[in-house]
Amino acid sequence: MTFVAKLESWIDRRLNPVMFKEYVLLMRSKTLLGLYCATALIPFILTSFILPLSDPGEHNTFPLGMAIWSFSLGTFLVIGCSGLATMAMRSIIIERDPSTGDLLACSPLDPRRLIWGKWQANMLFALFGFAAFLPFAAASYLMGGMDLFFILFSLLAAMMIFGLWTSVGLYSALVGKTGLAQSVRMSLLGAGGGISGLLLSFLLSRLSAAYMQGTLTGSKSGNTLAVLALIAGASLVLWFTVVYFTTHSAAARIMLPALNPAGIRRQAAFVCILGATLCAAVVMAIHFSPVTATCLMPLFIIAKLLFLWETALDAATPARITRSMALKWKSLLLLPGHVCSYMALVTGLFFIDTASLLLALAADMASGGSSSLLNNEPPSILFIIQSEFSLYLLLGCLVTSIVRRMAPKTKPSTVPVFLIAAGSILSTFYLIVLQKNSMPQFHLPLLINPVWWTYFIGSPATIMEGFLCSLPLWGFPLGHFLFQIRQFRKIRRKVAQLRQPDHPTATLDV
Amino acid sequence: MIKVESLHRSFGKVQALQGISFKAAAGRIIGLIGPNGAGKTTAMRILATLETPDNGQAWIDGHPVSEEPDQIVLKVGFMPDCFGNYPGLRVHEYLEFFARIYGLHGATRRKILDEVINFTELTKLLDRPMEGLSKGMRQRLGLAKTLLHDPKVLILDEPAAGLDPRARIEFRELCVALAGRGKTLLISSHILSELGEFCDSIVILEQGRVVAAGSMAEVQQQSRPHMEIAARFLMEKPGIQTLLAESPFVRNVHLDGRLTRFAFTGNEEQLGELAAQLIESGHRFSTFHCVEERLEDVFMKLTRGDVQ
Repeated sequence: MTFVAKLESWIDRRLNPVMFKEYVLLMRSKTLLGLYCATALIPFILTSFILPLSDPGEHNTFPLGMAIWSFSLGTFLVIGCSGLATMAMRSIIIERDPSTGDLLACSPLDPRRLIWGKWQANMLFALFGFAAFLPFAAASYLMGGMDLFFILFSLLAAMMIFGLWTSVGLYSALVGKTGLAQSVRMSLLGAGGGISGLLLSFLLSRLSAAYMQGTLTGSKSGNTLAVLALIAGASLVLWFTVVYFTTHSAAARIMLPALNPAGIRRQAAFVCILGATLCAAVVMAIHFSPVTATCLMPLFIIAKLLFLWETALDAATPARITRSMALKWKSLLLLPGHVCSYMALVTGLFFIDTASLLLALAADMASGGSSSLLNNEPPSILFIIQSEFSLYLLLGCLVTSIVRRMAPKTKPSTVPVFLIAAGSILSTFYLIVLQKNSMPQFHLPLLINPVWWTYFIGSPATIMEGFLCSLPLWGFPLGHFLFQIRQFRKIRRKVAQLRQPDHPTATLDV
Repeated sequence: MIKVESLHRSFGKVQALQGISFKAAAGRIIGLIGPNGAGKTTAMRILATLETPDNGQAWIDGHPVSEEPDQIVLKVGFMPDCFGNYPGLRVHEYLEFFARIYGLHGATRRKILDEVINFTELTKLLDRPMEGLSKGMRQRLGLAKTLLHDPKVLILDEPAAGLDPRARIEFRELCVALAGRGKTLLISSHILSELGEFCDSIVILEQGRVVAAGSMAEVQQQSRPHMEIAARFLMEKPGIQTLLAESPFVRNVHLDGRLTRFAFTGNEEQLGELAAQLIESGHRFSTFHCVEERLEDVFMKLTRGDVQ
């Protein structure tokens, strides 16, 4: 057997069939072709608008290069995050359809391999998407608008965020019922992904500007260090995402109830990440700098995603609650059950929201922006934000425990939930002390919406970022909640029907 | 090959299966029939590891279904009543996808794919997109997918539904050929005439219970404890009715010109004696045979059409 034949055989044996199928389907998808064209066309059109505005007599091409970079990066990230999240979600919805799901469920395909294959296919396509973006990046580099090192860093950061949004898309499709609610979720997810991409492009643009002007840390060596640290942070996030996906089996449980979940690994991963997050918070509190802030923030995102996974998926999956409760519990308990599931979801999403906002703040600081965060007392602000986490975490834990009582068949991870609860209570207590002593200007209503924090601590630009960031993430659970109400009514009607005396029962004899 | 014992499954208050039991030997075709909501699909889904029984057990090739699902999925090929397609995927890509899932690689995969494609006569359709296939073509594709891992047992849920007569006959021939290869087929269908023609055994379900089970003759015996005899005499002669009435095994004699029908409760030897008596008494006939009962008639007699 020749080397090529051996290689071919080796690849053939290791190729994930789902990834291969998804790849074929994606390559034929017209939507994807449209997204690809948009990624190339939008920055091209925008650049053509800028060109006449540039001074032809000026030989410095740096501003134009920077503008091209910002436009192309923004377009690429917005389309990438939004498109990949919705495509990932859609691909799972197709498999959840009984007609296709049954065929896979009675095959030897490991559901984890299915999810992993979908993730791989999306990431593979993201790599293709770079082809549309790279010409603009190259143009920017040639004009001196961007450094090669930072281009590579941006691509890595983009892959990291794409991976995260693909994961969120896959998760969103796995929970709850299919149908209209699922479609609404998909559009909200797309919007959320788009805004997230926009936010990331702001962040990267600011960081790149600071990097190119040497103001990130004040020196060129400092710049290099900062970027290396950022790459390390990004790699860590990517690694966590990959590890979590390969070991996590909640998806597997949904796809195939008979499959035994790898509970110990999952719990261990979750506790480790939580520990890392707490350490990060401590480091930030002691030595608050743009670099540490930006490096450690991804950990928060991962922790929030995991929390979302653990609570919302295990404890508050609406389909599970409705199925187990509708027939075993009184209908009066249904509404609180749905509210609980909604709250658990909100809680999880709130973390992502807050983490994104923190990223924005860190970016603002890194670029020496007008945020008053640097002028105020950073530790106090941090504690405010941490306490805000805590408030919702506490709420999340409470509803999780209520949900568990109401639907005993669900098995959320108890240990991490109680760990979070203990930390939350302490942080909330600390907030009260802070409010009393040193920070009278902050009061409870402000803690409801992160936009308000930025109003007090940031510039109008940051407020806009905060608003854009939080809008889809609040809209998502709101839409979810409305559908839960609708679902509740439907189930109440069904329960009422079942209770009717003339309802046919199964006691008929042949 | 298939053994089902006291299988129970309920969905909320609805008891889909209430202790069904039946057996099937290797290389046999078993028809699972019953009105809508009788529990046919639930039983099939349990055998295909897609549902777990509340009580009871099923075995395939000696492996308990609910305890060893990983073994069962390799021994069973399940074809649901409507299997979804992946718009954009072509026929050969669809088959390759499932072949990869079943762990077939390289030359082995190509060889098996060729065999299955030839057997199901899909050669001309390989480059067609799945969404452009007719119902009959899709059923053949479904069967091809089901055969990829060479399962010992094939579970086909309503495979002939929506097929035109030609496609139905072709599909039936495929099923018979598969049974000839030693595979056990469990088929559910509403087209009873067809099942009656090629099934070795029948299991009739109603309201989650087995109403009748066994070979066609056994099921007919259960629905009708006597033989229905039809005789065509060469000429109308008086005294036939009296002669028949004298036999202790003859009931319900109907005369319609030269055609006579009656119920016979005796065995085949006693029937032979009766025929000899008729000839001796000068009543010559051109035909004298036991009327076969159609599966539709058996089904209508045994089931009441009740739905849970």
